[in-house]
Amino acid sequence: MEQLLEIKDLRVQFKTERATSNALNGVTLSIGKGESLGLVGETGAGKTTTALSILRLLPDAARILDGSITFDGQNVFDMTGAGNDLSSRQYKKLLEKQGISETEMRKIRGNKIAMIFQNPLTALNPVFTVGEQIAMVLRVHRGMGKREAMEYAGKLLEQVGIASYRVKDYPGQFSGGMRQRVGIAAGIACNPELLIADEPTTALDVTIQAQILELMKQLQTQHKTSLLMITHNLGIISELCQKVAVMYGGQIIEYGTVDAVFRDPLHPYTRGLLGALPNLEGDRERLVAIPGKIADPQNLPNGCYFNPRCEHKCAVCESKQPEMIKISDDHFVACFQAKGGV
Amino acid sequence: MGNYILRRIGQTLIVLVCVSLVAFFLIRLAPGSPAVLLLGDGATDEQIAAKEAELGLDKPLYVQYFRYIAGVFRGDLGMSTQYRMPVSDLIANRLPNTLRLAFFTVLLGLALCIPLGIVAGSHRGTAIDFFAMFFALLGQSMATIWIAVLNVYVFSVVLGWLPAVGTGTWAHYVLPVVTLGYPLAAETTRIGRSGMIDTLNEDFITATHAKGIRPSVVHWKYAFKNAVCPVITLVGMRLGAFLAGAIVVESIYSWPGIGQLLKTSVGNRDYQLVQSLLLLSAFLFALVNLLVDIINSLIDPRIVLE
Repeated sequence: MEQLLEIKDLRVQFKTERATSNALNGVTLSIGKGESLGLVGETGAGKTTTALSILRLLPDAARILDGSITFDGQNVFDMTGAGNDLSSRQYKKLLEKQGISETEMRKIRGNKIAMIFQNPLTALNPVFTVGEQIAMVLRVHRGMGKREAMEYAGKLLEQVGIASYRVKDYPGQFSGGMRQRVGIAAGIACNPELLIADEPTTALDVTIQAQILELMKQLQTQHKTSLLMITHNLGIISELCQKVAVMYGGQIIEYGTVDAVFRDPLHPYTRGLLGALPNLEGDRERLVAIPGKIADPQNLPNGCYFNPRCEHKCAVCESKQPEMIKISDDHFVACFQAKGGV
Repeated sequence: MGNYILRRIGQTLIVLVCVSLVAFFLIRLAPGSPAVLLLGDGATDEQIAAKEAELGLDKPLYVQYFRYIAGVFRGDLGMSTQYRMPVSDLIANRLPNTLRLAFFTVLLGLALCIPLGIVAGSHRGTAIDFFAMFFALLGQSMATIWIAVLNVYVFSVVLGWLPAVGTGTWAHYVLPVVTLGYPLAAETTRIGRSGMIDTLNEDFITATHAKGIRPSVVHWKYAFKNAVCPVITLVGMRLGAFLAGAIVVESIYSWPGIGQLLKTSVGNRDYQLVQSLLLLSAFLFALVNLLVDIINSLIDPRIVLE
């Protein structure tokens, strides 16, 4: 399959006066054209940081220490070997030099890559109409005039199940689920090649979640958009995605087709995640929680980041980081315990 | 929207009734009588009683109040005992001066604070931010009266560039406007900056960047509208206060406005003038607030929705 997005060994650090936080510690990911990838992990595993890196919209406190991102043949950035000993001015200069220009990048944002945000209540500007917030994308990327863009925004609203006359309404006049539909309408406005959905249903209640997912599935198959679905809900992944990447401590620890990974999870963390799902059939057992706390990006353990919580750890887990090993063409895992590696 | 405005007008009327009551009774609680002040210390009790009867002050207070209110509705604000002319004429004479001063002050404040506050907020930690904050700190730390005296000393006495007192030419505006406008600009710069910083941290701003909008448009169009509401509210409040007459500044620069009039009328127990000036100030203040609320509700629809 032709690759659309490739992330190679991405390392991102957040530096504030008080602490240094290693958000991403070597993330390697790729998404093919038309493919949908689920990115799972607990809060703080680095999912949102990954998404913002793709758009080159990391906050000022963040620094890319290493790695590269290519999108559709374009070099978003290549910061291989940048390290963390640059001054902030040197860093900014380097970042500007190491990829396509900011103008080129803006042509990608909202156009070829669109993002849907986690909290629909805060992701829309309260003092602009929803129509304007969809129309701005069309004006910038499609060169539409004011009226034309508004009209088209109405059509997009209808596509996501909202009456078109509501373009003139403000976000405050919509419920959470409706606002997320508005976010999706803005996301699909330019028919992007990649749609990043950052926990698009986390802030919504269950029935609305189902509607939103149904909508996304329908749009994705219609437009053959690639999808990066960020979530901590495994049900969503099995519903919407072909591939899944499990994140822990700013690294991908297991990766493969949904089928392979969910049927035969190899990493103890992935097994834990799947074991923590409630089961409707059989006896009502206690849910199995993964013991311990999620890896603290400000204070990561030596060796495998999961080792303090791992039931199967051995000496090597505490001293060395496991490399990603290939189990089959559809399944990769980073764990010393995973047998049968090729 | 229409409902909202009607409700606000209703609230304003209630405030005005309360102000008229307070103004009327408070000045009468103050010791001293206008009759005594008019006749001088040597007046006999009979003379004073006769003068009070002439001024209508012998009637019960509620009668005096309703007479006064009835007069207000007819456009008759009574006679000033001190100036011996109708209060409405006095106000018509002085109000334009105060209005002009207030207008230019607000203009100066906005012209400085909007670019400075917004730019500082969107370039946090840079030299321009530092400069803006220094400018604001200075303006907020200095008392108006001190700025006024300093201005007079430097620009009138030492340099001789600008007239220190009176009205007449454009040059006369400079010192009073700067004296009132600098603290206003300082305050609003600070509010505008923090409004901008808060807004830029919002998810919807990241979302706007993620749509490929140019940063300058994101800041000046999409974030600006969020950040400007508190600035307008603050300017409205200060404008209301200026319209009531900037007593200190008008006195120092001998600016023939409402503030000076109020100062002398209180000293002379000029009941009709004091209560009318207070009522006028309250009316103007309420009017400005109403306008501010309407402007803000046009900018931020949440105000009407809640």
